[in-house]
Amino acid sequence: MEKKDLIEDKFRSSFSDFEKEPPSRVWKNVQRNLHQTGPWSRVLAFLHLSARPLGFYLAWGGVAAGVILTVFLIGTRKHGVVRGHAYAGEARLHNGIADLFCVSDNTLPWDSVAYSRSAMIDNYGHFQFSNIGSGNYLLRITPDKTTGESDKYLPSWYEHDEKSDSCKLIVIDGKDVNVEIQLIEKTKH
Amino acid sequence: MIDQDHDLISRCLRKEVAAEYQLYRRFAAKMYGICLRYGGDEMEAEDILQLGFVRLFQCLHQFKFEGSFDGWVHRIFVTTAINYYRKNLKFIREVDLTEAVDAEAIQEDVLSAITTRELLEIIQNLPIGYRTVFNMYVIENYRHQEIANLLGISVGTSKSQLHLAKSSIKRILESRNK
Repeated sequence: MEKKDLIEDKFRSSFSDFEKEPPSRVWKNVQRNLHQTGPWSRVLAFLHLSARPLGFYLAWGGVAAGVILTVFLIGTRKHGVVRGHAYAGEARLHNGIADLFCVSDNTLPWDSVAYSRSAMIDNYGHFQFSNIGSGNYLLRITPDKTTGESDKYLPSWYEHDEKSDSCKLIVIDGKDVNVEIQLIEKTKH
Repeated sequence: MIDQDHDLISRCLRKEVAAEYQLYRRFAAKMYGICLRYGGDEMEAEDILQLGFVRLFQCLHQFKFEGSFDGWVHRIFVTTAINYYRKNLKFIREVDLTEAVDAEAIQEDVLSAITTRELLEIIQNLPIGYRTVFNMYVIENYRHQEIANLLGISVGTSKSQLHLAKSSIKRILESRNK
């Protein structure tokens, strides 16, 4: 014999003939949707098909417009290019890595240094970072270990410093910036 | 009754507004009752009701007079309610029931004092998966296999959602009774 389920029985008996008169606007909205003509009446019919007031859709429209505007403003924010050359003594550095760090504050020592991105330094000491957003940056050059220059030169920050907390800031404000970096010799150090 | 239905449907298909209103009046209260059970609140129930009636009038030509017209209309509204929440329903999953409360062990006097309005409020506040499966299984008398097919879930998920729904209802009822 099947076990009696009191919850099921209660709900089944309560809702088997459950009815409630809907608001009169339902019929008007259904009619409007069934007998609409033309594109504008279709749009209005859609809005009326929802029980939510027009203000609900206007509020959502406002939120969507805000998001689109924010994305647009971020997309059109000023960007620049940081490019330059790294020198090992009189000659250009043969290969290495250039690391860019973003700085949020303007007070030494930098408390808000965050890694941004890296770029390869080519055989002629050239490096480039494209599409850099406005702000303050630190740049560090590290010689490639395979070239032998890493035996003679230390990883160095712009400009001519071995420590990030006293080196010079690169300011990007929508314009391209050229930087020339001299690596610090280990012997001098 | 079948002749009356045939005449009413034919007039609706000819876009006679009076016939459409007659059809609306015949089903509005009953279907609103269904929509209130499937909806999370009165606003959503109203949305489902309006969409259901638009769908009913648009699909009326598909009724072949081969079964009960009332049953056909009922199915349209249940399907409309399921479709209204379909994107939320796809996230429901089968859950382990080893720690679920035994929903059947409830005192009869807890249930006897509660009104239909309070039961409706309890149903509306259930999570969407619990609410839909509970409505379909308990009140609409769908089997778990049918529910699984209609919602695009497994039979196990349907069973676990039903059990969890009853456990939640039991908890709510007992907390109200304290």
